[in-house]
Amino acid sequence: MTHHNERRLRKTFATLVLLVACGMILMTLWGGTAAATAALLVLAVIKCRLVALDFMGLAQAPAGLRFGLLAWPAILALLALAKLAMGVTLSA
Amino acid sequence: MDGHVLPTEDQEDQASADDLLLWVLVWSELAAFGILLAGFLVVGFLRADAFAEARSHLNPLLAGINTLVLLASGWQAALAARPAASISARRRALVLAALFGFGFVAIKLFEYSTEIGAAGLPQFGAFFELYFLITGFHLLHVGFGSAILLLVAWRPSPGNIVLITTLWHVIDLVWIVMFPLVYLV
Repeated sequence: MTHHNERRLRKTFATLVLLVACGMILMTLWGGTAAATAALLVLAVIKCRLVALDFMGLAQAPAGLRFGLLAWPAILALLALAKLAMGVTLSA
Repeated sequence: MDGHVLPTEDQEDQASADDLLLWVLVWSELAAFGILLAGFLVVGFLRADAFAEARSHLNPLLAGINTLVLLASGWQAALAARPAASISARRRALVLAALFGFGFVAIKLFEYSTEIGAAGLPQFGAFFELYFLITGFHLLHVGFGSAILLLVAWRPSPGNIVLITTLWHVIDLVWIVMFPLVYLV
Protein backbone atom coordinates (compact mmCIF):
# COMPACT_ATOMS: atom_id res chain seq x y z
CA MET A 1 0.00 0.00 0.00
CA THR A 2 1.26 3.47 -0.86
CA HIS A 3 0.37 6.24 1.53
CA HIS A 4 0.12 9.73 0.13
CA ASN A 5 1.53 12.88 1.63
CA GLU A 6 -0.42 15.19 3.90
CA ARG A 7 -1.25 17.68 1.14
CA ARG A 8 -2.64 15.01 -1.17
CA LEU A 9 -4.75 13.56 1.65
CA ARG A 10 -6.11 17.03 2.48
CA LYS A 11 -7.06 17.51 -1.19
CA THR A 12 -8.81 14.13 -1.24
CA PHE A 13 -10.74 14.99 1.93
CA ALA A 14 -11.77 18.36 0.45
CA THR A 15 -12.99 16.59 -2.72
CA LEU A 16 -14.97 14.12 -0.61
CA VAL A 17 -16.59 16.97 1.36
CA LEU A 18 -17.51 18.65 -1.93
CA LEU A 19 -19.07 15.41 -3.22
CA VAL A 20 -21.09 14.99 -0.01
CA ALA A 21 -22.25 18.63 -0.27
CA CYS A 22 -23.30 18.07 -3.90
CA GLY A 23 -25.20 14.96 -2.81
CA MET A 24 -26.99 16.83 -0.02
CA ILE A 25 -28.00 19.64 -2.40
CA LEU A 26 -29.21 17.07 -4.95
CA MET A 27 -31.20 15.29 -2.23
CA THR A 28 -32.75 18.55 -0.99
CA LEU A 29 -33.74 19.87 -4.41
CA TRP A 30 -34.68 16.68 -6.28
CA GLY A 31 -34.85 14.04 -3.53
CA GLY A 32 -37.16 11.14 -4.27
CA THR A 33 -36.76 11.23 -8.05
CA ALA A 34 -35.14 8.26 -9.77
CA ALA A 35 -32.62 10.48 -11.58
CA ALA A 36 -31.41 12.09 -8.33
CA THR A 37 -31.13 8.70 -6.61
CA ALA A 38 -29.14 7.32 -9.56
CA ALA A 39 -26.83 10.35 -9.41
CA LEU A 40 -26.34 9.82 -5.66
CA LEU A 41 -25.38 6.18 -6.29
CA VAL A 42 -22.78 7.30 -8.83
CA LEU A 43 -21.44 9.84 -6.30
CA ALA A 44 -21.19 7.04 -3.70
CA VAL A 45 -19.07 4.92 -6.06
CA ILE A 46 -16.78 7.89 -6.77
CA LYS A 47 -16.39 8.53 -3.01
CA CYS A 48 -15.53 4.85 -2.43
CA ARG A 49 -12.91 5.05 -5.18
CA LEU A 50 -11.27 8.06 -3.53
CA VAL A 51 -11.29 6.41 -0.09
CA ALA A 52 -9.87 3.13 -1.44
CA LEU A 53 -7.17 4.61 -3.66
CA ASP A 54 -6.07 7.63 -1.59
CA PHE A 55 -7.00 6.97 2.06
CA MET A 56 -6.32 3.21 1.97
CA GLY A 57 -3.38 3.77 -0.38
CA LEU A 58 -4.42 1.09 -2.88
CA ALA A 59 -3.41 3.10 -5.96
CA GLN A 60 -0.19 1.07 -6.30
CA ALA A 61 -1.61 -2.19 -4.87
CA PRO A 62 -1.82 -5.39 -6.98
CA ALA A 63 -4.52 -5.05 -9.65
CA GLY A 64 -6.64 -7.92 -8.29
CA LEU A 65 -6.82 -6.39 -4.83
CA ARG A 66 -7.55 -2.92 -6.17
CA PHE A 67 -10.24 -3.96 -8.65
CA GLY A 68 -11.78 -6.35 -6.13
CA LEU A 69 -12.22 -3.58 -3.62
CA LEU A 70 -13.51 -1.11 -6.22
CA ALA A 71 -15.92 -3.74 -7.57
CA TRP A 72 -17.70 -4.11 -4.20
CA PRO A 73 -19.39 -0.67 -4.19
CA ALA A 74 -19.90 -0.78 -7.97
CA ILE A 75 -21.77 -4.11 -7.80
CA LEU A 76 -24.03 -2.91 -4.98
CA ALA A 77 -24.70 0.37 -6.80
CA LEU A 78 -25.57 -1.56 -9.97
CA LEU A 79 -27.96 -3.77 -7.97
CA ALA A 80 -29.59 -0.64 -6.53
CA LEU A 81 -29.84 0.92 -10.01
CA ALA A 82 -31.45 -2.28 -11.33
CA LYS A 83 -33.98 -2.17 -8.48
CA LEU A 84 -34.66 1.49 -9.22
CA ALA A 85 -35.12 0.80 -12.97
CA MET A 86 -37.47 -2.14 -12.31
CA GLY A 87 -39.50 -0.03 -9.89
CA VAL A 88 -39.84 2.78 -12.45
CA THR A 89 -40.77 0.31 -15.23
CA LEU A 90 -43.38 -1.50 -13.12
CA SER A 91 -45.00 1.72 -11.91
CA ALA A 92 -45.20 3.20 -15.45
CA MET B 1 25.31 -15.72 8.99
CA ASP B 2 22.35 -18.00 9.60
CA GLY B 3 21.59 -15.97 12.66
CA HIS B 4 21.07 -12.92 10.41
CA VAL B 5 19.14 -14.67 7.65
CA LEU B 6 16.59 -16.56 9.74
CA PRO B 7 15.08 -13.60 11.58
CA THR B 8 14.69 -11.77 8.25
CA GLU B 9 12.80 -14.71 6.74
CA ASP B 10 10.74 -14.99 9.90
CA GLN B 11 9.92 -11.31 9.70
CA GLU B 12 8.92 -11.64 6.04
CA ASP B 13 6.73 -14.65 6.87
CA GLN B 14 5.14 -12.73 9.75
CA ALA B 15 4.52 -9.67 7.55
CA SER B 16 2.98 -11.87 4.87
CA ALA B 17 0.76 -13.62 7.44
CA ASP B 18 -0.31 -10.26 8.87
CA ASP B 19 -1.13 -9.04 5.37
CA LEU B 20 -3.19 -12.15 4.63
CA LEU B 21 -5.04 -11.85 7.95
CA LEU B 22 -5.79 -8.19 7.22
CA TRP B 23 -7.32 -8.93 3.81
CA VAL B 24 -9.26 -11.92 5.15
CA LEU B 25 -10.77 -9.54 7.72
CA VAL B 26 -11.46 -6.88 5.08
CA TRP B 27 -13.25 -9.33 2.78
CA SER B 28 -15.19 -10.90 5.66
CA GLU B 29 -16.56 -7.45 6.48
CA LEU B 30 -17.35 -6.63 2.88
CA ALA B 31 -19.01 -10.01 2.29
CA ALA B 32 -21.16 -9.72 5.44
CA PHE B 33 -22.32 -6.19 4.67
CA GLY B 34 -22.70 -6.99 0.97
CA ILE B 35 -25.12 -9.84 1.75
CA LEU B 36 -27.07 -7.69 4.23
CA LEU B 37 -27.38 -4.78 1.79
CA ALA B 38 -28.33 -7.04 -1.12
CA GLY B 39 -30.99 -8.62 1.10
CA PHE B 40 -32.27 -5.16 2.02
CA LEU B 41 -32.58 -4.28 -1.68
CA VAL B 42 -34.47 -7.50 -2.47
CA VAL B 43 -36.95 -7.10 0.41
CA GLY B 44 -37.28 -3.41 -0.51
CA PHE B 45 -38.21 -4.41 -4.06
CA LEU B 46 -40.80 -6.93 -2.84
CA ARG B 47 -42.37 -4.48 -0.35
CA ALA B 48 -41.77 -1.26 -2.24
CA ASP B 49 -44.72 0.74 -0.88
CA ALA B 50 -44.14 -0.10 2.80
CA PHE B 51 -40.42 0.62 2.45
CA ALA B 52 -41.04 3.97 0.74
CA GLU B 53 -43.43 5.03 3.49
CA ALA B 54 -41.15 3.82 6.29
CA ARG B 55 -38.20 5.62 4.71
CA SER B 56 -40.03 8.94 5.13
CA HIS B 57 -39.49 8.53 8.91
CA LEU B 58 -35.69 8.48 8.50
CA ASN B 59 -33.49 11.54 8.77
CA PRO B 60 -31.17 11.71 5.71
CA LEU B 61 -29.77 15.08 6.85
CA LEU B 62 -28.30 13.51 10.01
CA ALA B 63 -27.03 10.61 7.92
CA GLY B 64 -25.36 13.10 5.58
CA ILE B 65 -23.71 14.86 8.51
CA ASN B 66 -22.54 11.47 9.74
CA THR B 67 -20.99 10.79 6.33
CA LEU B 68 -18.88 13.94 6.76
CA VAL B 69 -17.93 12.91 10.31
CA LEU B 70 -16.83 9.45 9.18
CA LEU B 71 -14.90 10.84 6.21
CA ALA B 72 -13.09 13.25 8.55
CA SER B 73 -12.24 10.26 10.71
CA GLY B 74 -10.97 8.34 7.67
CA TRP B 75 -8.83 11.32 6.69
CA GLN B 76 -7.20 11.32 10.13
CA ALA B 77 -6.71 7.54 9.94
CA ALA B 78 -4.95 7.99 6.58
CA LEU B 79 -2.70 10.65 8.13
CA ALA B 80 -1.83 8.25 10.96
CA ALA B 81 -0.86 5.47 8.52
CA ARG B 82 1.83 7.53 6.74
CA PRO B 83 5.21 5.90 7.43
CA ALA B 84 6.86 9.33 7.31
CA ALA B 85 4.72 10.71 10.16
CA SER B 86 6.28 11.10 13.61
CA ILE B 87 4.96 9.06 16.54
CA SER B 88 3.30 12.12 18.07
CA ALA B 89 1.63 13.02 14.74
CA ARG B 90 0.39 9.43 14.42
CA ARG B 91 -0.95 9.47 17.96
CA ARG B 92 -2.76 12.77 17.41
CA ALA B 93 -4.31 11.56 14.13
CA LEU B 94 -5.44 8.27 15.72
CA VAL B 95 -7.05 10.05 18.67
CA LEU B 96 -8.83 12.47 16.31
CA ALA B 97 -10.00 9.56 14.14
CA ALA B 98 -11.40 7.87 17.28
CA LEU B 99 -13.11 11.06 18.45
CA PHE B 100 -14.80 11.50 15.07
CA GLY B 101 -15.83 7.84 15.34
CA PHE B 102 -17.44 8.45 18.74
CA GLY B 103 -19.09 11.54 17.24
CA PHE B 104 -20.62 9.31 14.57
CA VAL B 105 -21.95 6.97 17.28
CA ALA B 106 -23.50 9.89 19.21
CA ILE B 107 -25.22 11.32 16.12
CA LYS B 108 -26.50 7.88 15.08
CA LEU B 109 -27.91 7.20 18.55
CA PHE B 110 -29.68 10.57 18.45
CA GLU B 111 -31.03 9.68 15.00
CA TYR B 112 -32.32 6.34 16.36
CA SER B 113 -34.17 8.23 19.13
CA THR B 114 -36.11 10.19 16.48
CA GLU B 115 -36.97 7.01 14.52
CA ILE B 116 -37.82 4.54 17.26
CA GLY B 117 -41.45 5.74 17.45
CA ALA B 118 -42.19 4.79 13.84
CA ALA B 119 -40.32 1.49 14.23
CA GLY B 120 -43.11 0.14 16.44
CA LEU B 121 -45.77 0.50 13.74
CA PRO B 122 -46.64 -2.96 12.36
CA GLN B 123 -46.70 -1.93 8.70
CA PHE B 124 -43.05 -0.84 8.94
CA GLY B 125 -41.87 -3.99 10.75
CA ALA B 126 -39.76 -5.50 7.95
CA PHE B 127 -38.12 -2.20 7.05
CA PHE B 128 -37.10 -1.23 10.57
CA GLU B 129 -35.96 -4.75 11.50
CA LEU B 130 -33.53 -4.68 8.59
CA TYR B 131 -32.69 -1.01 9.12
CA PHE B 132 -31.69 -1.48 12.77
CA LEU B 133 -29.91 -4.75 12.00
CA ILE B 134 -27.76 -3.31 9.21
CA THR B 135 -27.09 0.16 10.63
CA GLY B 136 -26.75 -1.23 14.17
CA PHE B 137 -24.17 -3.81 13.02
CA HIS B 138 -22.27 -0.99 11.33
CA LEU B 139 -22.62 1.21 14.42
CA LEU B 140 -21.09 -1.55 16.57
CA HIS B 141 -18.15 -1.67 14.18
CA VAL B 142 -17.69 2.11 14.47
CA GLY B 143 -17.88 2.08 18.28
CA PHE B 144 -15.54 -0.89 18.64
CA GLY B 145 -13.17 0.47 15.96
CA SER B 146 -13.01 3.85 17.73
CA ALA B 147 -11.99 2.12 20.98
CA ILE B 148 -9.30 0.15 19.13
CA LEU B 149 -8.03 3.35 17.50
CA LEU B 150 -7.57 4.81 20.98
CA LEU B 151 -5.77 1.66 22.15
CA VAL B 152 -3.43 1.79 19.15
CA ALA B 153 -2.83 5.52 19.78
CA TRP B 154 -1.68 4.53 23.25
CA ARG B 155 0.72 1.91 21.84
CA PRO B 156 1.33 2.87 18.20
CA SER B 157 3.21 0.03 16.47
CA PRO B 158 3.34 0.39 12.63
CA GLY B 159 1.70 -3.03 12.06
CA ASN B 160 -1.23 -2.27 14.35
CA ILE B 161 -1.71 1.17 12.79
CA VAL B 162 -1.93 -0.31 9.27
CA LEU B 163 -4.33 -3.03 10.50
CA ILE B 164 -6.81 -0.75 12.29
CA THR B 165 -6.69 2.11 9.76
CA THR B 166 -7.29 -0.26 6.83
CA LEU B 167 -10.28 -1.80 8.63
CA TRP B 168 -11.44 1.71 9.53
CA HIS B 169 -11.49 2.67 5.84
CA VAL B 170 -13.54 -0.43 5.09
CA ILE B 171 -16.10 0.67 7.72
CA ASP B 172 -16.08 4.03 5.92
CA LEU B 173 -16.67 2.38 2.51
CA VAL B 174 -19.56 0.36 3.91
CA TRP B 175 -21.27 3.51 5.23
CA ILE B 176 -20.77 5.41 1.94
CA VAL B 177 -22.61 2.62 0.07
CA MET B 178 -25.13 1.96 2.85
CA PHE B 179 -26.35 5.57 2.98
CA PRO B 180 -28.01 5.78 -0.48
CA LEU B 181 -29.11 2.13 -0.42
CA VAL B 182 -30.90 2.35 2.93
CA TYR B 183 -32.10 5.96 2.91
CA LEU B 184 -32.93 6.54 -0.75
CA VAL B 185 -33.24 3.57 -3.12
